[in-house]
Amino acid sequence: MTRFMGLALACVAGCASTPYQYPAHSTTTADRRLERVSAPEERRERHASTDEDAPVAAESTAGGIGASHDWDTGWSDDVLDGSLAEPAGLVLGEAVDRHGPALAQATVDAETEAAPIGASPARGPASDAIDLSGELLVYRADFVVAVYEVERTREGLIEAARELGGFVATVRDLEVVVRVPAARFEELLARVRDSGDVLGRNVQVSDVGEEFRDLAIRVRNAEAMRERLEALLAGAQSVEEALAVERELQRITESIERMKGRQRHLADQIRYSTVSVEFRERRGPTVEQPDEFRLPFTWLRELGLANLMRLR
Amino acid sequence: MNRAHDRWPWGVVAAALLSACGAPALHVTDDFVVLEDDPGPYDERATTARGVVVAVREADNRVGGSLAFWVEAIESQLRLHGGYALLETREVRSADGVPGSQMRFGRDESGRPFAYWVTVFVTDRSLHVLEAGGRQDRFEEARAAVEQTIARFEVR
Repeated sequence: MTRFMGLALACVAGCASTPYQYPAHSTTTADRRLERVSAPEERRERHASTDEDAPVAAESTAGGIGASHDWDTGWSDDVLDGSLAEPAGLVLGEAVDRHGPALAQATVDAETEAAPIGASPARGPASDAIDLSGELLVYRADFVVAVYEVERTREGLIEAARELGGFVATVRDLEVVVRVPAARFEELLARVRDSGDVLGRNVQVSDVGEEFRDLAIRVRNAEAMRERLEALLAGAQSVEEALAVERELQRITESIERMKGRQRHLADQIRYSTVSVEFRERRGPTVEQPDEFRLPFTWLRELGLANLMRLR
Repeated sequence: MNRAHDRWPWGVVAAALLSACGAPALHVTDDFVVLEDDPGPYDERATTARGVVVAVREADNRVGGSLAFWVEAIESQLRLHGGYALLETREVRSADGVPGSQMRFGRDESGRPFAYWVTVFVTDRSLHVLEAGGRQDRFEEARAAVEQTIARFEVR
């Protein structure tokens, strides 16, 4: 029993501190898919990139977490688990231009091989994957637009988002939040600018590449550890041993689920940019602000429909 | 001499002097009636039967603000403090040739869109501000009358 638990703990410690190395001949399903469409040089580059980042994880095609597919975001786990250094497609703006033909090739692969998986008409092709080798950018823009023909403007923005392959995230009386594929972000910004009198805007771009890649490595290592624990469980000599390993299995499985959930969230944020438009009536401030300067002319403050249309 | 004196069009002269020195006046079309008893903060105000209103006021320009200055001041006031959306700005000219600027704003009130135009003419001593507004649909109906009333306006 002591020997068995020691082995289990060593297994856990090993996974936590150093990347687990799978045999060199291990190949993921996605790698195989890429091989069918890629030139030999590109294949070598991709595999080199994979090996450099982390060990190549064995694909658990026989069920379990590794083979599942996320129907909500459209991200299959074989895409998310990081085993694809340059997987099937990318929707990060000019990334195809940035990364050159190899990535463009991968995009073709996405369209021809995996498009139906989890596809949602409202959100476009769902199997586009993320290129882990470059920057992974999350785009967000917040606009404040003057209150005028709110309903028409709001509907126009929703329609524009749909035309660009996006969808509506939130609709309120004076606010609409839409999301579009990252590659169409600029187009949507232009539509917002044209839709009304923009009083203010804030565009944010954040690089989540480090976190995303780190998660991918941690998921792979945790999955490798889980497999070894499963092997230990199969060879357990007593109920005590089995229970101890099962507890560890449960803990590691929960950890994997949390990490994959975070991965899916990040992947969704990378793939779809968020644009929020708030229709705001800027009434007089309670505290005089430097940027709210008012000229000392009484008649200026009397301008407006309220006075003009006060008929008694 | 006396007869010539009698024939002199004193009425016209008086009207011209009054016009030159007095408050600015609107030359409205038949679609409007002038609200003589209730001009509000305006020198003159008129309305259509469906509540599209035009009004004019004269303000002092002793500070010597240029047309560009006042256009920017009005835009800032209405956009940043009034919640109006600036839809369009046009260069215009009064009936007597004074250059001006027309800002066309929009704004929703109680879920309905309203149109609001502000036209400003600037001279050395004063500026003349014409306002026109109403519910968008009714404003569109009266648009030609509004445009005609503004086009007839004389600064001097």
